[in-house]
Amino acid sequence: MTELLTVDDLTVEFTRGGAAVRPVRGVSLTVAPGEIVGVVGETGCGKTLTGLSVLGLLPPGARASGSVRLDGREIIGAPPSVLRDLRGRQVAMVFQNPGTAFDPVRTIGAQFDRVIRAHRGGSRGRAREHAERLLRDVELADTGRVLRAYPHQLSGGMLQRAMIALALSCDPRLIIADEATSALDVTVAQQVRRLLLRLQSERGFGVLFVTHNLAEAYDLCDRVYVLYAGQVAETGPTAEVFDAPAHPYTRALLDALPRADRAGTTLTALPGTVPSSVLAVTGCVFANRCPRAEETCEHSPPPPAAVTASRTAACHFADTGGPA
Amino acid sequence: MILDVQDLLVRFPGVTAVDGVSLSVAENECFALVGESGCGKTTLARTVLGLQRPDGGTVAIAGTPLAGLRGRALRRLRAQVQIVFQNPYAALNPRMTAGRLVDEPLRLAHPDAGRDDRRRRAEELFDAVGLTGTHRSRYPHELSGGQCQRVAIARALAVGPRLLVLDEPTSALDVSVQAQILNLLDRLRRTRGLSYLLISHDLAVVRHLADRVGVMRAGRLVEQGPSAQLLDAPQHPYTKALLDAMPGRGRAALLADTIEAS
Repeated sequence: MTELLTVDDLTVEFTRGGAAVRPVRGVSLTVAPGEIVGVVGETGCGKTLTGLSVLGLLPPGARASGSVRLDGREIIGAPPSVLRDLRGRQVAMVFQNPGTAFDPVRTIGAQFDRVIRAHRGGSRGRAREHAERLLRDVELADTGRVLRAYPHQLSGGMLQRAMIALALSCDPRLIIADEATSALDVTVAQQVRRLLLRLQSERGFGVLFVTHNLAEAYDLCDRVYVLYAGQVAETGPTAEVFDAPAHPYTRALLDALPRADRAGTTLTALPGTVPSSVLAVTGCVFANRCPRAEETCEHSPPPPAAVTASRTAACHFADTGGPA
Repeated sequence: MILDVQDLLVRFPGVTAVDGVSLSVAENECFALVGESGCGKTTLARTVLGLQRPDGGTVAIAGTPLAGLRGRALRRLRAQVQIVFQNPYAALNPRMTAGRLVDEPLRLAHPDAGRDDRRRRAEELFDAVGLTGTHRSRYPHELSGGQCQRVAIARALAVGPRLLVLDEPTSALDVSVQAQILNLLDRLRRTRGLSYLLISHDLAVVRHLADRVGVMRAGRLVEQGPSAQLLDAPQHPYTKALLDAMPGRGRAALLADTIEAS
């Protein structure tokens, strides 16, 4: 299968107080055309930077190495002209907080006009027709009102729909969604998830869905990558990973979730924290919190190993025997 | 009853934020208020804390009506009710160490206590929330989100409250840390006989912690009952919509979903 997105051994490095920090360390992932791929993990696991690197939008001072190829074209080190060409037409982003992702002093209409004409050219009238079509597609019926409105005049749910419409304005082949529903109320978040799924099935774009919400990834994603401390702990088809996690970290995350059948019990919380300096860790970066860690884990970092044909886990003692 | 709210009415210009709500929280009980932004749950909590004056109805803490209390009497009653906020970084003074943050309410609660006495009380509180002596000298930015929330809980406990208002206490935390804090809250309730008014939009958290649940929408309590019963067999269409919006039931359930924009 020809991949739409291929991230290969991506490392992102900063210098903080004279020392190197690497929030992303050798992440590899793929998204096929029309596939929804989840990147899940907790704060600081590197999921957001992984998403941003696909747009060439890493913050100042970040140095990326490895390879990020979108439809065969390399993004790391690409000149601004190439990135400009890729953004919008090939890849677009939906951010967490639509209230800050839009320019507060311009109407929604002006922002659609600018993006559409910058990427597709044409007249203001044509751009407006296109914007209205897009807004109807994301189920915003009163398009005139939305286009005349400033961002603060719309609800969070309406803004996030408008953000998705804007992202789709140049028919990108890949959407990066970073915590796209996290700032929304529960019923609105569910509507946005359903909308994304409907649009994806109609238009066939690929999605890199970055989220901390495991339940949301379970509903939306074909495959997931579970990140821990800047590395892929485990990857595979969503249902398989969640039903029978192979990596102890994935299992720990799922065990920590409050659920109906765990009401009134003590939850299995993950002890400890991510090592403060992961670069100083010589073995497995999860070893200090892992219930299964043995001596070998302290000394040798586990490489990603196949669990089944479609799954890998970076663990010396990966669970290969189905549900425990 | 630790908390008794009757026909509570709070109006802001152009909107009735709390519209005739009655609820009560018994000794050692956890009552959860669920609902979405703007439903009035935070206004209700502020009124319970005496931070918002009601336009009608009554709030009584441990049998004493809040209305009409002033000065020392109000302060004494307020010590019975404390709050833990959603974002612990924003709730803690960044220029104070964890030790000072916990000492501050101890001074208020025990004005006659000496340094050693307060120190002993602080140690006991740190221990109760699962922090160690090494955390005392740290500033909030040197602590993790979960550790900050533990400091915030220790501060709330310092004045000896009987009721804690928990306003989205784990929403800003990672899953693994959330589990730690939920376990801590569960333990504190049992060991200290506390009552909780939990405000949350996360029905999984609510089910885990709460004995009873009230569902709020547009200022009104549309449904209340024992949590397992209410969440397993919701009666009000809005409660059903909230339950249907919970992710984690798979793609088929997501597509089959029929909730409409509200």
